[in-house]
Amino acid sequence: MKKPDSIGWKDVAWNGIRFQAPLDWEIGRIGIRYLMLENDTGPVLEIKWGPVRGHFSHRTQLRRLARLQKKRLGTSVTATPLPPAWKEALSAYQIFGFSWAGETIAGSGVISYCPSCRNASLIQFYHKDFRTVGKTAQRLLASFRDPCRNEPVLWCIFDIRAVIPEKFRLVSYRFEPGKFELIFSAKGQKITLYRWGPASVFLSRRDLIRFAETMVRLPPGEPQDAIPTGPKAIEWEESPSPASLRRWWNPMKAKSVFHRFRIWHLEEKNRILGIQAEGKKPFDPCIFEKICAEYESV
Amino acid sequence: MNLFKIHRKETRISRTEALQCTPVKNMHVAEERLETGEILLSYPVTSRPWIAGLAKRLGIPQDSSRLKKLQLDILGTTVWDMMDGRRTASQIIQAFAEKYRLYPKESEVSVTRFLRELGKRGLIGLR
Repeated sequence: MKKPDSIGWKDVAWNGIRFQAPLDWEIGRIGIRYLMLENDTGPVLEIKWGPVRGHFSHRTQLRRLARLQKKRLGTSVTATPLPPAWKEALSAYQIFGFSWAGETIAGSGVISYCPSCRNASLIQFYHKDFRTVGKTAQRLLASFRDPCRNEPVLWCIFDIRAVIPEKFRLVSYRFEPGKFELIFSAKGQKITLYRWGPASVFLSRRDLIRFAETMVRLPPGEPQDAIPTGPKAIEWEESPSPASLRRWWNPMKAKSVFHRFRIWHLEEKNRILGIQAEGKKPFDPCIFEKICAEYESV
Repeated sequence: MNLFKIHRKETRISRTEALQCTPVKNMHVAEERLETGEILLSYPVTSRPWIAGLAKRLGIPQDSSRLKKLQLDILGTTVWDMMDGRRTASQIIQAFAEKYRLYPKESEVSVTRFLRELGKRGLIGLR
């Protein structure tokens, strides 16, 4: 493995957690609160996290992990003292080290717990020799942040980067070749992030408006030019007239009545990005603009 | 214990080894380039032996020169053109990602899925 300083690093941020990882570590498996990163040789890093209700015990978590590991790989997990560098990197957390060794691969990891936000994380590195991951793991752990802070949440996965208000929770996601989709919701409001590529192929026989019509359920009405600071964008918006009877009736309707969709083409990246906001209540235009401005393909 | 279970010897190769394989086109596949730039592939199809046997018993004539056609879209055409018998799957993935400025993993998933589909139809083999 190369020295950590000689390789490029990238941000990974998913559902509250964030860290830096070597450029050649790719997302192999993904879940709502789970990430598995792999490189050419196979899995290299696994992270699970979640909120803790009630009392948290590292030993209980270790026993649970040991049972799981025994079932999955037939190996025994043992508590292991952590290297001082790891302890320093995770000094803000209560931590507990563990390791295991299989026939062809071994693992070293840490169970961390943040008492202030009551979030626990399991981070484990897969390796053949612990010395090969030492420095890389140290830098990665030093950059690790869990979903503690009451601030907008960064999402940085594959080639998309977005910042979403903290109140919105991820409800579903799809990463398929050519199409990425992330859906967030909060109190009757829904935001959907889209990313399509390669744009040169999608737009070879139709313009952006026709493309949007075939890919998304659009609000009724004619598209308009949006006024973003970045690339040319097209927008559709549906908002019912503010008559008092309608205002009373809207929250009782099952279907969203406020609907806004913006789509734009990033020529230099060969991507198309889109954001859809729906809800029974009108969506704050400032928040919508902020999400659009911070949504990008890196 | 299942005495009748057929034990096939599994030859599993790693992801790295699989990506180092070179896809080679089946020489019985005819390709026609359409006006749109896309490619139309025609390949002979043979009936499964038990279907052919059943058809023979029932007196149904068997067309031995049955051709099946497959039209590739522009992305499929690009990958098909990149298969020159020299480039490995890994090199095709890289070239495909560069051509369309795709994220490497996205390119890998789409190219390997496409190669697998072509392999299932017998249009390519891996060397």
